[in-house]
Amino acid sequence: MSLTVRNADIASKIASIPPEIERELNVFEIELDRFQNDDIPENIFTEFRLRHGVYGQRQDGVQMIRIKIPFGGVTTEQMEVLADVSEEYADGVSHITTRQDIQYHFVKISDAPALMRRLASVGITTREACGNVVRNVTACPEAGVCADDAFDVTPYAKALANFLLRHPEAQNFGRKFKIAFSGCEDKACGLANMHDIGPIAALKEVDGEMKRGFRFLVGGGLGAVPHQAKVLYDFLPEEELLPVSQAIARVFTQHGERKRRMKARMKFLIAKIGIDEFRRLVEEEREKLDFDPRWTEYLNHLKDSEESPLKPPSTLDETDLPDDFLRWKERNVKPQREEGYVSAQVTLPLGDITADQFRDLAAVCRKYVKDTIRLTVPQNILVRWLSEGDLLDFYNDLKAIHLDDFGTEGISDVLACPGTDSCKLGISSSRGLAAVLREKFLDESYDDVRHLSVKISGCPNSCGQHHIADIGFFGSIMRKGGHVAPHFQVVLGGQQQGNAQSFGLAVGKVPSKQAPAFVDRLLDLYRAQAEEGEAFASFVERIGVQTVKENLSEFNDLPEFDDDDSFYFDWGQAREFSLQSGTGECAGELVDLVEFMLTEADRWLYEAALRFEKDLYEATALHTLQGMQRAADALLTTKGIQQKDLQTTAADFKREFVETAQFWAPFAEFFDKYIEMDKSALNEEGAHIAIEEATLFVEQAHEVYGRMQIQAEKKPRTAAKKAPKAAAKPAEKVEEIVDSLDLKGVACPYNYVRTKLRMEQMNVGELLEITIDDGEPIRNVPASLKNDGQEVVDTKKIGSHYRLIIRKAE
Amino acid sequence: MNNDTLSLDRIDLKLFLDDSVEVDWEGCVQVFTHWLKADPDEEEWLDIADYTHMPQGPGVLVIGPEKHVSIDDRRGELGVLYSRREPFSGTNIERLQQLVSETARFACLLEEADVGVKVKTDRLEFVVNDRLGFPNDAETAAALEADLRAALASAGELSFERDEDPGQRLNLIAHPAEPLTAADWADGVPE
Repeated sequence: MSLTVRNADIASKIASIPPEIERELNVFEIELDRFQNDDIPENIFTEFRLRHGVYGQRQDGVQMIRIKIPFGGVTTEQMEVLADVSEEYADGVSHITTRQDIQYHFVKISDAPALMRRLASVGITTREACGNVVRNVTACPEAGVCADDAFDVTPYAKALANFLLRHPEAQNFGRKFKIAFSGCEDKACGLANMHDIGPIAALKEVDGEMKRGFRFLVGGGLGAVPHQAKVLYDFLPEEELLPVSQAIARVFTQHGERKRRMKARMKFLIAKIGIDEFRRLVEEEREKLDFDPRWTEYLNHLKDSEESPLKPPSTLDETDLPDDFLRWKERNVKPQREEGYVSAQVTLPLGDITADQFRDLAAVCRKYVKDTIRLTVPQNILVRWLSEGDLLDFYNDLKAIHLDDFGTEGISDVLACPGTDSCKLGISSSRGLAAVLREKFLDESYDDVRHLSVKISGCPNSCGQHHIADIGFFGSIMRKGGHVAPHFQVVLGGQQQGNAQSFGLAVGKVPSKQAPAFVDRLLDLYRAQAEEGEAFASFVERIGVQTVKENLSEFNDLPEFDDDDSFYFDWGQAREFSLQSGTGECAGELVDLVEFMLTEADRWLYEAALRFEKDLYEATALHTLQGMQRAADALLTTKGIQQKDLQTTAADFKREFVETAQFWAPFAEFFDKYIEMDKSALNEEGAHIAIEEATLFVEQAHEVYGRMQIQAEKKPRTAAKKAPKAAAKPAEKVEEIVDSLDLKGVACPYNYVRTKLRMEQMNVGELLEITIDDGEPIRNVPASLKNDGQEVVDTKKIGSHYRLIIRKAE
Repeated sequence: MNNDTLSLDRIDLKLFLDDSVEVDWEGCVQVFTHWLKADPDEEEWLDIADYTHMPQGPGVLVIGPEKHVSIDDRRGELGVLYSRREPFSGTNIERLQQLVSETARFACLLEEADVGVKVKTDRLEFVVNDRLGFPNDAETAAALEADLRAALASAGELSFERDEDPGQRLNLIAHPAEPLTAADWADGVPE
């Protein structure tokens, strides 16, 4: 241990870290040291650190550290250490995530070992919190105290989390893997339908005895293209939970996609081979497994996980209770199965809690309960086993530490991922919009719609769970006149109930600054036109997407920058919005953009399938065509060709990809076919074929892009070459500008791509002159070219543009 | 602190605000954004973190690799908080002196920006942001107090108070007998 610890209390806790964990921490420290001394390459260290929960932020030089809290269960001692760590190594805030764990932001990597040791001293690990491994195992926070659960899933969640943590067969996935337990079928808390593995507690009579087991779901997931889970087993006996999960891990390792990251989640594997074949593979692997005593050992100790109250049951004296308390009680408190006890949610704005509040909350909890505290998926904290008679005192204690907000899981409890605040993938400010909406929804005028949910993701990847919200948003952009404005795609009508039983539909995008006004319009529409007791999802389905779009249209106009520049600033930002923070991100942006567009193509197909289900055959075909166009545009982006209209895309695509035999011609013909076809005449069979053919086209586009990436990886990168100078063929310097490119008005990353493509045709030492715009282009293009190893010989500002001379490197 | 003690690597100083003036949070974001865009050779910053949605939270921070500066509202006491993340050079006494002048310098910049920041310097809250090396006990606090008295010797008579909760970080609030302005402290410890 390399820490200098003079604090006796902390020293004794650190000394209690089990030797195998201490060794793991030492290894992390050694690897960090080697990386900082340039002894191991960055990509190797990146994968290593991810597996230890250390994630790069969009800001250079600082890290996000995510820790694992299985099923969200924390003790008061852990809460205090979590608070201390946030104060000493991060920015003083613990952020509760939608996976019931905690993230710290702005941590220096050199502080990571100390942070990890402090956490390990109270039994918390960061191991496998990020990376292509089993992420934090979640479970309903009410498990064991809820009147509706078949049985308490807590010990099972704990056992599976421990079993798969560091398990050699869960270390080599092509993509991350998520597990969530639910205690019942109908409620929202477990969200089993949107997980790779989603066991739902079930009881079955076997030989006259009630036996515990699980309705066992697999292959669900949100992400850009959401998939509902499939039933692997209607009833999986409890003793099979761990071995079957191990077998699934094997199948996913062996058969899951590896090259195309976007297709690598297990949901794609199951969609590809079908649930029956998947089941066959799992059973085949299950047969081969050697017996492991851990599979069933924990079943002998299920009672160890049973909680008990600190105080005897009691009832609340209902006389003269203050209004604020009653409001909080109505929204935040639920009775438990056991008479005289309640569970109360502590609402955290955007999932954030300060170190002082976290410590103070621990002290409050100690007064009323044992360590019966859970972090929740909606980013709050649930305190269980409160004796009901203590409720007012408990509330007053929360009030004293400013944690008395009401409205947990209601409309004001807006859920958001970190978005552009810290995440590298963030497109627009999800937390900024969430803060604005939250403030608005706290007003009593929204009480009539308080049962609705609003969830926001900063990008299509759905960390903010926008697919299962009544009103969901995910980050997007729109360019106009050389400026970029943050936008949000609107997704309506998702349902959390029934373990996330259905996903919402994208209905179009709005400028971020218009989102609050749009929400108000939508809520007014709902208030005016919803039938009595009609759920929002049913309402949206009944009035139809077209009506929603008509209401949206008023809000989706983007003014010119000169007319109203406020649209070009994200929430809480005094800087004009740009797609990427920092500089030199063109190459990264290109990859993001192409992947983003291919993902959009997938989504168009997904939506086509939804329309097919509703017998809307013309709309089905139109959506499949949109999907193919988006996929073609994605590939054209790699050639520096910006998308224009359908006909131009088709012509450019034919020239660049079909005639060059990069894209298989029979599949390419589907694109032309559906451009020319009279889609209004399609019947059910024709629409079905349209989906299948468009899927082949889009899949081929993914493959082509995958091949391009592999080829790019095989090409030696000039900047990385370290050949001895004597051995290198001397470059013949030709001080001549051999070509020029006018890239005025060409946006990032197309300006960079076109420069790059042109330079590939030049000889070493030749000079290329390019003219690019001020702003994002001059910030990004030279830096990206330098990253590629090219030499920027000269940069001159000419009017509102820049002229660059670039020398082709070896 | 004595030579055999640890270096004060992570130290914070909070200068409390005159709460009769209302902080303009949006204005603070604009000021921090201006700093962010300024010449990185002069001052390196990474980003701004906005926690104004949290009651009694960290407010708005501008985050750099070596330091965080914020308008902080924790415990409901507004102040300019300077949090040192990379060690200053020199002895512990010199480090404390640099902490004071740096914090005061940023406080002055915020005062000049007309964003509702008016610093009172009748209380200076020093925190050692390192529970491992510096437990919040009487002995360590006495050593810190000695260093602070030496660092701030020219500022006149000082009295100290401390939150003695052992769960808190080592802390001392210094009360100068003669309150000085942020500008007085900004050019270094006053002579």
